[in-house]
Amino acid sequence: MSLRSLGRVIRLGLTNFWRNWWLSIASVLVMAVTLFIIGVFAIQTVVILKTTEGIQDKLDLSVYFNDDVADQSIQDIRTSVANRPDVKSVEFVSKEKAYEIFQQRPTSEKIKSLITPENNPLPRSLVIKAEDPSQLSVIAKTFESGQFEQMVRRISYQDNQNVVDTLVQTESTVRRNGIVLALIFILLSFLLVYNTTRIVILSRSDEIEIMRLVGATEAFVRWPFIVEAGLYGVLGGLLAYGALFLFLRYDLASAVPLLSIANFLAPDMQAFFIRFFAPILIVITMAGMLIASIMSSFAVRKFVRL
Amino acid sequence: MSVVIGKGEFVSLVGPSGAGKSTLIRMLIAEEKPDQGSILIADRDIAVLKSRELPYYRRKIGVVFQDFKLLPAKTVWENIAFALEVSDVSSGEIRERVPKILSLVGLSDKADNYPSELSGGEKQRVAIARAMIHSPRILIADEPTGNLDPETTWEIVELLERIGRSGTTIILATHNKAVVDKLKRRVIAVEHGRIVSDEKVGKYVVPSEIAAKEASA
Repeated sequence: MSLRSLGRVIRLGLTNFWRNWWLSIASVLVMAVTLFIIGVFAIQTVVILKTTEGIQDKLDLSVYFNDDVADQSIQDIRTSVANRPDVKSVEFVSKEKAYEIFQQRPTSEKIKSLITPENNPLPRSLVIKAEDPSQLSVIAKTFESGQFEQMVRRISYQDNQNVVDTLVQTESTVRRNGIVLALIFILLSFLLVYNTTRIVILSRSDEIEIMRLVGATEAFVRWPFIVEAGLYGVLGGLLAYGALFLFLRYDLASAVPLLSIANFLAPDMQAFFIRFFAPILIVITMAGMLIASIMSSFAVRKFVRL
Repeated sequence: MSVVIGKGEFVSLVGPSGAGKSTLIRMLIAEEKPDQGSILIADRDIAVLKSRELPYYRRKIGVVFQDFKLLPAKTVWENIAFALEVSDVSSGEIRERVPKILSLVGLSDKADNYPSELSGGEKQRVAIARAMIHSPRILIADEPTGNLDPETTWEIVELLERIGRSGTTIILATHNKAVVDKLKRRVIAVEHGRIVSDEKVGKYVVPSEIAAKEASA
């Protein structure tokens, strides 16, 4: 197709868009709703994944040592633990460091004053992070028996076990549901756009017939419809973006029970949205344009016989 | 059926509805393919044209219909220019060719009117202008006067004759007896998908007359 024809095809697509403005507005709204829902699920999924990642990173195992254990022994243990493949990092917390951390805790001054650098009962510890937080219990087990029994005062991972399990479970559930729901809505949007284009084409069968009779090529007949659908997608994307913004800005997630997790994560979603302002806009708009033009090109192929 | 139409001829195609006139016309504009046989136009078989070749063939023939087939949302000028636009003709050339064709059909002053503002005869003249814009060698008119009153009918027939005189082959499908009789041109009568008569200077024949003729012969 020549550049001249390309220009004419685009102009024809735009003219058709305005000529059937009611049908166009309906199509744009359909696109907007679909893209909005896909957008909410996409952002929600990303935020939950990021959140669990963040929480998982904070999960650790602290092994507190008795004061009679030599520093050197602890360093040896540290080295050997660090060499385990399932261990991500090991940090040694000295008495001084433990004191510093204690002073930063949000407890009353009275309690804080009970401990001074000179009179410091706080134990030394190793803070262990696992590659996979659900494996913390396995690592902890090795400190509960044999040579360690005499050295270790306390292991604090039990507190984390439930959190780890819940998180791991939530994450996989959310990921699976998010993907399934997004797929359902993407499929839905495909069908809606396909049907809309079909209606537009059928309503213009006279025009298509005339175009064919005066010698328009296949491409010249088909492309205005695809341009028009692309416009539905772009405008629908912009609308969906605006709706997404209002949705997060005014915390409307709480109004939709289906999105209860979104409700819980609303502030994070808001932050995510603001941080990735431009990329989200581009992705949503492009997705709209792609969905709309692909499906309309299918519909045109099916219904415009030349 | 077998028929040969020469270059520059003005042929009337007559016969009752359902006789095969429209099928013949539809095959001539490559809307339909013959079950067997071939349709040669300028020694080229259009029955075997591939779908991507069709648009280029259609630019070489002009077609006019009973129901005009104008785009209601476009002005007279735009309707005619549209045929050039879809054929990748430059805007400069369009601006040059459209006024010429409008003056040929006598509608220069209606260029900016919409089809709904025109009379039936004017609409058909726009359709003829659009059909002629590619300067085709053949103009096919399928019942062009079917929706027109007698006076307007003569206007259109006169315009077709004028186009015919300039060397364009004209195939006119009609069942208007008065038109055919007055033209005094070649008449091909079709019935039940067969040619029942083909006369150099013919008159409109009704089936019963043919039957009578055959009986006497």
